[in-house]
Amino acid sequence: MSWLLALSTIVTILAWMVARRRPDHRPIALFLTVALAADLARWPLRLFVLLPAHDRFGSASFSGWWRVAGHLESALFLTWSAGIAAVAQVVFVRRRFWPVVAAWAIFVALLAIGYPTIRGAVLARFYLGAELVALAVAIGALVQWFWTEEPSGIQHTIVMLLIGVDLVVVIAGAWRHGIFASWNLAQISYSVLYFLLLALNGLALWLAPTSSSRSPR
Amino acid sequence: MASTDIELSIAALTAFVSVTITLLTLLHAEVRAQGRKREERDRMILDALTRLGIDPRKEGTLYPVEVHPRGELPAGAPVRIAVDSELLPSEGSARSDPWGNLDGEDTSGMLPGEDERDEEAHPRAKTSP
Repeated sequence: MSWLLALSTIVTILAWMVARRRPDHRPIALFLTVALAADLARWPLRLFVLLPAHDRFGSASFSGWWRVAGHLESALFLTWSAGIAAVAQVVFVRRRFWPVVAAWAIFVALLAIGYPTIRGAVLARFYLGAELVALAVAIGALVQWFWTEEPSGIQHTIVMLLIGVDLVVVIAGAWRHGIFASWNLAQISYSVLYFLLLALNGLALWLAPTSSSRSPR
Repeated sequence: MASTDIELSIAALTAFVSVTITLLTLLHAEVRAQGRKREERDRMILDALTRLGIDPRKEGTLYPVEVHPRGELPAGAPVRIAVDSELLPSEGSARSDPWGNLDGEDTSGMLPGEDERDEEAHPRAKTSP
């Protein structure tokens, strides 16, 4: 869905414009950048490598560079889940995101080691497991933050939106109806999410102080 | 249910959840901001009372005070506090609220040293250690 990529690009640019004025918005901008980069990389990978590979191998497992491309696509797909856990850690409890990156790398390694057992329906369950772990980490950080006296900002709202929309996708959307057959349902949810992110980042940009309005140092 | 119906349901559910989260978090942010403003105001009042030589907690009495200007205090704005002995709660007083509202009464109190009338307006300050 190329227009979703276009929307993602606009939201990411807007987020960086906000982050230039408000440093606390940087984790959001970084998350959106990683998500956009992963989607941009996956698009040609699927179109020019994996779809021809499916035609070539049929129902048999991939081998050689085709298999590497498949694992790369899986790793890129998992960046969204890992990103939500990481940005929640940074925004809500001010922790470093490297442990989440390490967990993501372990999940990707397990996928590669478990292949060809982990493919098809097993791969879908594996993805679901990773998604649930990421959501549990993110919700844990959210609950921790809720009991603190930390001031609430627009970046908190955005991370809560990411968690909320991902829960909808898992409970009622593509994960329920089958991610390989019904991913368009997830794209619908993410489109709604990105429209809201567009509005929130626009609001944040409007509210953020400009460099000319800052007091001279 | 047809596929289009599922898509519309998902879109509606996502929109509902998103808008609800956004509104709730904005409300939550406002509640926290108000709480911080109240804490800041209370701290400034206690600081001002301490400068007057009054320790409401130590003496076990809360003094009715008026913060001027009313409502929100802009950052860095001076806080003027009037402590009037006539307004202090006494036995049998109808003012049960120690931080009672002084609506309709004089709010132009001064900090000590600002005006000679302070000495008259804040008898408690003289008697406190």
